[in-house]
Amino acid sequence: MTFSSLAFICVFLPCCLAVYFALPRLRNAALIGFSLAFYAYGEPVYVLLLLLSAAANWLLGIIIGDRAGTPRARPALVLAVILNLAPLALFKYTALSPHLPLGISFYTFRALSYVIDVYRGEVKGQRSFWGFLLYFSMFPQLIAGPIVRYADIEAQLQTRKLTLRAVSSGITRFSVGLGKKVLLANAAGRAVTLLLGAGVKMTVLGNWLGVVFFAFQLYFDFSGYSDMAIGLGRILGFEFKENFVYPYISRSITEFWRRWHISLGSFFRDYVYIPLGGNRRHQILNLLIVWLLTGMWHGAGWNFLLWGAYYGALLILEKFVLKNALERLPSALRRVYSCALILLGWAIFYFTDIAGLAAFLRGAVGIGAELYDFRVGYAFLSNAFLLVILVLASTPLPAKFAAKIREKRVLGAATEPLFNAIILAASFTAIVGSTFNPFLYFRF
Amino acid sequence: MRYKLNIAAFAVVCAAFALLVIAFPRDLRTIERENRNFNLLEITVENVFGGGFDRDVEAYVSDRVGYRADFVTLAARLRELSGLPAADHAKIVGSVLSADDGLAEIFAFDGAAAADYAAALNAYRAELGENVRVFSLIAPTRIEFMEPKYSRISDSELDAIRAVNAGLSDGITPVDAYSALAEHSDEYIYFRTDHHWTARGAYYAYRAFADAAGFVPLGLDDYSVGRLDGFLGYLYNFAPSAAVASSPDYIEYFTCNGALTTSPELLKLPAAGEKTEYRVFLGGDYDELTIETSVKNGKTAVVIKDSYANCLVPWLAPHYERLVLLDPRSFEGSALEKIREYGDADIDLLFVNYVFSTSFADFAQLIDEMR
Repeated sequence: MTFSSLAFICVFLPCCLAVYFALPRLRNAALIGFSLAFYAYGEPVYVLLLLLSAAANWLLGIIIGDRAGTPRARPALVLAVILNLAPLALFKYTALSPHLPLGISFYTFRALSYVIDVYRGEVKGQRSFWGFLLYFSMFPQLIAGPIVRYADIEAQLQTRKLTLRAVSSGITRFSVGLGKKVLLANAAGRAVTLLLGAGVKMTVLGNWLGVVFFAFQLYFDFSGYSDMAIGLGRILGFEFKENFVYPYISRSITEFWRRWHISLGSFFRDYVYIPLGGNRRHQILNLLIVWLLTGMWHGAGWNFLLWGAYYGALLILEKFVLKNALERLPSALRRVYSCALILLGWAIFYFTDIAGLAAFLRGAVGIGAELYDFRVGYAFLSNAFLLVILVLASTPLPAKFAAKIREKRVLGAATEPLFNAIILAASFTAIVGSTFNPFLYFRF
Repeated sequence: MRYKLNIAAFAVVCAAFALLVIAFPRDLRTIERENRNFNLLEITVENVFGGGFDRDVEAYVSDRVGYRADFVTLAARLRELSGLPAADHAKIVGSVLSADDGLAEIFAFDGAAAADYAAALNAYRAELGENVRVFSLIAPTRIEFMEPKYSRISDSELDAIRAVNAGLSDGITPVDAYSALAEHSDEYIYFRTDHHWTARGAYYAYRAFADAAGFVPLGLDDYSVGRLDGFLGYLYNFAPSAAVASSPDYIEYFTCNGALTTSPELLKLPAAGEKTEYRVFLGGDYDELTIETSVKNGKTAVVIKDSYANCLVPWLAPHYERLVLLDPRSFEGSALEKIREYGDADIDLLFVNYVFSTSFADFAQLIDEMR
């Protein structure tokens, strides 16, 4: 179940929140129950894998924790790493199953961070299975991240303070996230299909505009989902870390990766890059390994490997060659530089077959393609306002604007609820609208 | 106070969404517009564990939303807020171009599919004797003849037809329907709301075929013209608009003035109250259809075809004693066996398809499988 489905908004969420707030003593049990139902609804079979994984990690966590700091902890850790990575590798990179169990990439990494942290003595192994299951399966972050660290919410698993302030801000955060996903990302996605969809005759401007829309689609989709997760977490009394901080205003690729999918980047930093030796020994090799793994994490296609290698190469280049030159450039130029490289990166990300990417790149530089055609003009014109909104919404301006309104008390206390209600209603309408399909009959 | 108000408002909105799903009757207009039944939810072991249960639930819940049709309309309005309309209200909806002037499918050439299509035809030629002549007629579509601004967003259908023709073996005669239609592109040769050509368009293609096959075609003045008004075709649904709806297509049909009878009849005119549809021609598509005519010349035409041929075949009737139509999308027998039933009589084997069919990856395969 995605957060942007009618089943979630109209059925699951109201039920879950009603039970959660009506039965304060059973909150953890309710949350576990609803989380498992949430997962089983989309994965009625692999929910067993999730439970098995939870049980294994819980047990190994205890064993590793009891031996932490001694050499005897090591075999258990190795076993835990293998047990976690094996299903991910089997499902993701072999033809074992036609589909990837929901969220396996995320919960595998959550489990790894847990057992490694226990091994390092940074956290104690959770002795209660239910406590661990709550962390492992909590629905806000279950299927699309962020990759929440156990250490960050350990205390909240036991006792959490539900404050009106936190619940209220969680509601607003969730509403904003839903709007980002349904109103912005999906609209951008329609423009992507229009410009880069199958059978489209490519043009230079069409290809670039298509990738621009794709960049926005990805950002608003993913960061919207993270917003919803963080918001839902807050409503339930948890505080998750930020996962996206305006990545498209970055002034270098290095900065971009500090702002994009932060929980993944910090996972690779803490559990791969630094253990490999970080910047103390063979740093270039370490960076390459980390970025190839990052690419692979995103999917089984060669293009993801290429995409990871692309960023690995760019980061190495920035670190060792461009650093000083970049710093001397004016900010505006550095932003242009970053955006151009990020767009090229998204093109690699978009085309899952190398032939498609090659055709795109030829078209993008005008080989065998015209500069523009009616399609580009139409795509641009019919999305002109959307494009302005997408650009503005990916900067800190809306947040600054909201702060100003709050400060000046425009409309008093009604502003925020009104704003949320409008976004929620518009999102609901858009979701219902997207289920309309007038072409069910056979086309001939 | 501020926080409480925000929380209360959220609770009210959530409750409203839930109520919309639970407390209101399902919206009948929904299924009328989408031409389907309500999505039902069957909870069986197979449904729940077979995969896709979440999609079933979503479809079910969506159908349960009260006033769904109004939400759908409102959602369409919301989408229009994304930007400005283009000149002529031109839009691209999926693979369809829509403008005030009408709609057209946008063609995407697939070189591999085109090569497969030619190869499939060649395989027929290789297995047939000299008593069988083989022709390939590929019909271009409306977009090819629209103003350049629009036709440029589509791959060239002329190039696509040439690509297929280049792959045909020597024993197959390509029929140049393209030039014949191009010469008359200012006439009513394509519908504006449907992806088919009109009977008039098919007539010009028929003349090109007569050229290739070496017979003298009848003139339009050998026919009487009938007309059915108020035709809104398949493409109209992609971008319903008042402008197009107010000037719908009409269907011209032609009946031979001479003494020609066929069984079954070539036209199936709608009864009173029935919708006007392209099915007028031959009554639609069949897996297999044999038409016997009063022309006792012993000649048989076997037509392997998509629905474009439905408009063309009536023109062929005065020249053949028997017309056998086979549709690769549904015919399950063997076309060669069919042809061999007629022994060594003179047979013309025609492949009549619109250019899109030659770029569909699976269409050549269907033709090949029914050989």
